Amino acid sequence: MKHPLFDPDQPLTEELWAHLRNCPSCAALWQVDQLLRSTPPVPPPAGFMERFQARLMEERQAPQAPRPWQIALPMLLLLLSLGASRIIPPLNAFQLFLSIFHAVALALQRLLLLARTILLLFQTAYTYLPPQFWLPLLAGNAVLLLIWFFSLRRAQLFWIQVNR
Amino acid sequence: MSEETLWIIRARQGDQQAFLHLLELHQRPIYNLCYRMLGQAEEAEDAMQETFLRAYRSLSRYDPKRPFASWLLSIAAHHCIDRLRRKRELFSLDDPFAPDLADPSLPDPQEAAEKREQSLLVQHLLSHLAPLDRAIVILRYWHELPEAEIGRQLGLSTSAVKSRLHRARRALARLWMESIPSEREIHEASLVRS
Repeated sequence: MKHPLFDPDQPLTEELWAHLRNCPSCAALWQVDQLLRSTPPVPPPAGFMERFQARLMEERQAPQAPRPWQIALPMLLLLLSLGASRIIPPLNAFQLFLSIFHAVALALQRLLLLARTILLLFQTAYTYLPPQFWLPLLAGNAVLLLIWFFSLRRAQLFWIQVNR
Repeated sequence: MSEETLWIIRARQGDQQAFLHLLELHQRPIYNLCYRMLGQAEEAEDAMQETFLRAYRSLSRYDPKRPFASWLLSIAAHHCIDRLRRKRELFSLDDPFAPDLADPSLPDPQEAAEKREQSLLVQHLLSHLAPLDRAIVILRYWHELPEAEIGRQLGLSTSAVKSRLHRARRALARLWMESIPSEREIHEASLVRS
């Protein structure tokens, strides 16, 4: 078969009709198309709506099963608090405030250190490397970030579509 | 504002009777889709029930700008595709659950029997298609949806729907030529007569 196959969505011309009589592949396409078009829809079984109504009532009365995260999160919190109570000795309110303040100050100090290191890295790169080296690198990273963001968005849209 | 829109508003406000009324209006096309996808009456009824329950649970997320029938068809198609992917079983003509496809609107028993035979034959052909291609063929032929709308419902581009439809038609034609010689001869004779 050297010609493009018959497209059932196209109108049937005299020329095409003559071709169908001599080409078994196209004729099979036409026959299957006619078969599908002439097959009536299957009617729903009698009494379906009554059966569905009963199932809907069951669904409304049955207690909602908790979602996996609704079980996992409280268990995780419980485990964490149990573990913490073992490690951390009992504290009074002032000691607790001081330890939280100390932890926050330490975290801020480390963040500042990280920012200074990054700044120093850029300053060194700027001094020793010409912009034609680090600008494409920066642009490439920005493009990768954009692709990552849009692929996440697409995945989210697909997930919504599938679960609709 | 159409009558259906009013029913939808009432259903979204929590009126269960309005929701059931909407389902009653649309049960015929949804059942046909489920039956043509799954090939068994029991499974089709179960799939339709699951489709309607899903619709009930997610009614608050329904976009009123979209036709209600399309929304239901989309839920049903996705659900049937998932079922088929889980099962990976082909419909058998010897299945004990093979339904009574006699259409009560046909008074002539011979005509009813012919239609039943035809329906089973179509089901046999459809069962050889991949779930997604089967859904596309059903939405195109029985629901007469344009390719763009089928794409929207199944999360595919229009060109992907076109190419899958073309591929599915070729597969059906090949199967028709290879495995059903007696049926083919009858149709070939009718082609020659016309």
